[in-house]
Amino acid sequence: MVSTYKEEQKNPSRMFNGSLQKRPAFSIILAILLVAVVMSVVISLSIGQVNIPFQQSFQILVHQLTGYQIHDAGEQLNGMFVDIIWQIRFPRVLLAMITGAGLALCGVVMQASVQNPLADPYILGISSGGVLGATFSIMLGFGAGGILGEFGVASWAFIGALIAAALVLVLASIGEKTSSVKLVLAGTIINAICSASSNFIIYFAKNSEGIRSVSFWTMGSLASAEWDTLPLVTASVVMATAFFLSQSRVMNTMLMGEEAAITLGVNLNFYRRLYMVISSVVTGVLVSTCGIIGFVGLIIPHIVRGVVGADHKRLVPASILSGSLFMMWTDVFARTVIPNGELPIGIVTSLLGAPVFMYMLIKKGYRFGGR
Amino acid sequence: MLKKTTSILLAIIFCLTALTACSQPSTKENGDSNQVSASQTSPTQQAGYYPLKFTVYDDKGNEVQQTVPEEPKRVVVIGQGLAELMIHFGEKEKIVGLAYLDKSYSKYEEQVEQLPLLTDTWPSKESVIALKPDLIVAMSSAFTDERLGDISFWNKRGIPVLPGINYTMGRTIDSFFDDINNLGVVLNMKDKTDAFVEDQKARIKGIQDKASRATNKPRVLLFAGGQNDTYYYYGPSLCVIDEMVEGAGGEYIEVSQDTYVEMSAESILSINPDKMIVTEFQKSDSNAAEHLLFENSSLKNVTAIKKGNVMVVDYTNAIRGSLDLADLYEDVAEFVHPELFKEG
Repeated sequence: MVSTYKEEQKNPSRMFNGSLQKRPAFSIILAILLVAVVMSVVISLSIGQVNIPFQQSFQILVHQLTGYQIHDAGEQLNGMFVDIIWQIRFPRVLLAMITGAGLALCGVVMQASVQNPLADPYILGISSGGVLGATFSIMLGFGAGGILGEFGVASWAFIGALIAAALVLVLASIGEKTSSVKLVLAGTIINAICSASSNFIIYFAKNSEGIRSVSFWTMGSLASAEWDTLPLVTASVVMATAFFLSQSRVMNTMLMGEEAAITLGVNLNFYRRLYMVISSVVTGVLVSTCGIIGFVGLIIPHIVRGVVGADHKRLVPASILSGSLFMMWTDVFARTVIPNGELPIGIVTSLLGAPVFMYMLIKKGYRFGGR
Repeated sequence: MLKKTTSILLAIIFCLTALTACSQPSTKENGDSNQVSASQTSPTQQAGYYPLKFTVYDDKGNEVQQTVPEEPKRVVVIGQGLAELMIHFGEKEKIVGLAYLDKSYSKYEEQVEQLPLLTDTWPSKESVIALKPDLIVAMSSAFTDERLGDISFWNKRGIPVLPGINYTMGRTIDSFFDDINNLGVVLNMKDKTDAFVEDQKARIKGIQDKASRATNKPRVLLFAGGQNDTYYYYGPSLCVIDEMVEGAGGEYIEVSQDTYVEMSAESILSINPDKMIVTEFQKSDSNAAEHLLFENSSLKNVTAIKKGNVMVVDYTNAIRGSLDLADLYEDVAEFVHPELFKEG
């Protein structure tokens, strides 16, 4: 796994050569992605269980955002439509956009940090830690009594995720130097322990209803999106994005391996930990808001890599935008595919994402560290 | 002549004002201003009944205040059991949307099928809003963030909710009657629901009185089939049949406190119940579980199996309670103490 870039290590200079000559092409790709994200927000707003004409939903959006009325003063905006667009769909579309961006970003960072194509945002045991926290709270009734107020379960999920990540980091650094292999293995161990503990609690739980609530955490859902939940998620993802956009050089070095990094004078160990702490916090926030949405953080970076190459200068922004796009449209699918019902988005992301990835894999010339 | 016309006119005016007073919901905050009206309308539309304030319990058991401003006419129902209650008490016409079906035998099958079905699982917020309900009657577990949203979400939109079938607070025969009483209060049909509940309670009391003459206490085990051939015991707080067994003079074997556990052949052997009640999730009329018990050679020495003391009951009714509750109670009594309850 780790030796995928043996070849690149031999000639690091060749590694990003190909991509540097495509700069104009890349800015076009980025522009297209940006426009697509904005368009998707507007379009996906008008899609849902209730049939609201595109024109109406656009009018409502403009009116709510700017106070400007583009419709005739004579006709009134339908109150129910305003409610659905502004209170239900818009927060949800925004949450999808932010969650997708956050997951894709954390995926890129984790893949670089542990130098492993199988890494995703949850690799440090964050997912199972979050589920364990949520399960603990749901089943044992913590949070119901307001230890941490109204967001008891979410807070517990966040705490669980962070404790798991911290344990992984500690476990990996015991003894000799932290290595990427040790991190992955430590993550696997903590994942196993947390999943088993959750299952233990679930198996001996006294209410079946609680179990159904737990399944929400394991399959992920954006149904709980509300205006109140957005600021925290937005702030953490935006700050992480700003930070990692400036870190492309270090991440490129990471992929070349330890020796190259030492040669280039980059303290890999320090950066690796820093990145992991930051992306753990972001992922923890995401998990506590919408449960575990699998596959996005694993697959989006790979797909984007296949298009723009492995240079993180391009990979990070392109992944963030693609993650947003992907998440918004999978959520549209999740909330419209069952008439009047909902499908957990975690199911949809894997079902739609896997075939795309399969195609990328079969396509010749795709390599994790590749050009 | 003039006198006559004025009196007729006065009478007409009086009647009209009385009528308008009835048809317009009073906007006063207190719902107990019962004006005496001279109208000839039915008692179910008496003036001043609405606005109605009442207290409900959410899924965590917290009290939440609800206000129904006027008589609900567009009710969204989540949970087939609650829809059946409304059908039974003649409020079917008010249901504008139904979600979450039991998918098990029900004698109201045909009427349920006629109702406008949203989806047989949890509905989305949007599709419920689009129906413009003025009341949501739902299983309490519907009001979580990832399903229908919190109760306050609907209250903000001026839609009161009535949660029922709350397993968090424990399922008992009384909580089943509470669900019915709440519907009676909110939909202003207390006369019907009270009559039903009183009749049921009277029948139950009759059984309990008779059962007190029993000389022995057979030990009864509940054996509930789940999905893919797993069988469970349900704790007393998760079902209503435990009360029936106890009320009929039997002992409901508590395998574990307030929870459900998977049962193995060995655990049945070690418990060795005198009688067993078998029920199957979403397969109420099948005797598969019963056959399974009798064909299982390792169980042939269990007292209940040896003597053939096995009874199959309807899952919904035994776990959650249904409108045939007293019927099932009588059947259970006859099963527990045939010597007392066998007819004829």
